[in-house]
Amino acid sequence: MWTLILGGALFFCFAYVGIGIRSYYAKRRDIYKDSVAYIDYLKENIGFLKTPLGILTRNFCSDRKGELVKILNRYVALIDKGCLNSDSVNKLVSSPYIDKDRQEMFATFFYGLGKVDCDTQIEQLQRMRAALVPLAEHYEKKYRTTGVLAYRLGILLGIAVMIIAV
Amino acid sequence: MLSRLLSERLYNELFAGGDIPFLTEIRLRTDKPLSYAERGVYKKMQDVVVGKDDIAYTLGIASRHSMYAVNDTLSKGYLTCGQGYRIGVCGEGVIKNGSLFTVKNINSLCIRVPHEVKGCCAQIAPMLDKVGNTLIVSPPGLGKTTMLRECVRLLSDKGHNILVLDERGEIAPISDGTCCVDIGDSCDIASGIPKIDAYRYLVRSMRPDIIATDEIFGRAEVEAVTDIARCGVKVIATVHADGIEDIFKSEEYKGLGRLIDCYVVLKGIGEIDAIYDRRELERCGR
Repeated sequence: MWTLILGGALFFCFAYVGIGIRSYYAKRRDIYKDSVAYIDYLKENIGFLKTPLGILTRNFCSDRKGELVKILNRYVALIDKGCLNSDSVNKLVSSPYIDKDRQEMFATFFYGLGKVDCDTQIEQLQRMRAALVPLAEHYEKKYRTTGVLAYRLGILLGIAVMIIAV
Repeated sequence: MLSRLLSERLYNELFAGGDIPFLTEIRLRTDKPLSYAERGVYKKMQDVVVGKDDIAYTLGIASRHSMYAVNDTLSKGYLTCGQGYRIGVCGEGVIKNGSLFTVKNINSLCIRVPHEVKGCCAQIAPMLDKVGNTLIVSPPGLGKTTMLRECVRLLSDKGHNILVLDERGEIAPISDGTCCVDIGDSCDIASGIPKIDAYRYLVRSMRPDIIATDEIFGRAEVEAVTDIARCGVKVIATVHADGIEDIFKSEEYKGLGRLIDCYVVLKGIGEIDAIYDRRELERCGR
């Protein structure tokens, strides 16, 4: 009885680690995918209706979930309070799912939003999109390889350890 | 609104001594003392120096951190930030294709504080229905827009369809699609639309009985208003001038003389200095 419970617990631990690693890669991938979607959304609405940034960002986040949505909600809170400065933006993008060398890119992007005229803003958005698309593909590939592999290994190792324990 | 528009430091300093009734204007100039106007009288707070961060903060709040959304008005030297507040902006101009494209390195702001003063046109209310075209005249800052708003509300309550041409969002400020002041139930508000375009298109499509417009400026607007009045639509407008003599002497504005039936000259917020009837003026040879 106790060996079964121990086996089950060990399987759960290994599987959990595998799922966790896969989830980590998925969230990293999603931040970049969602960032591209956010930029496309901004481009469309800034160019046409010139809707203020806070409203646009809230609308974008309204039916979405994920790490980027958490960052964007904090971003909107900073806009509403008028506390948008380089320090607050650096803290905003310090997420475990964004590599340190990419955090500066995101910080520069968020800090530069809403500071220029429409045409220049759209150019900036296009440049950022061009930088993000290859990164999104890179992290998608990482997810499919390393993330999925870690998940499968976790399950397999868990089964193996459970069998050994039992 | 002021508690959001001004940085915490400036707001606390300005209102340290309590509320300032009839605060009409706040001026922020980089590295200069904060100054404000109460009933048109300017006062300086020598101990309170405005910094670049204070100006950047106010601009960020006023533009909702979306300069792309306000560049059109910024290139005309102002921002509107809801609830009737208008901020005049001064800095370095950026020229593109021969015209002013935007303003950068902004170093001065002039925050105009709106006031809704119900009853301020009590003196002219009985005759508003009966008079024809009306022009409200005064130098800047003496309550023309406040008076115009009140006239619009009274006429709207009487059931007249009024088209409010509010290019700068001061007469009937709109926030998220809702008007922030009471201007009655019969008003159509054209907010942020250049007056010449509004004259051309909306007068035909909205079929107003009365048009209310603020700060007639320049020959083009005088001609547009004259055309509208010729179509039988009544006009209530304001103009910057010291008195009616300035209007009659000006080449650009004297065309209004043939159009306006009643001149209301202001000396302060809600304070009428004189009311002139066109027929009386004509009899006096003006």
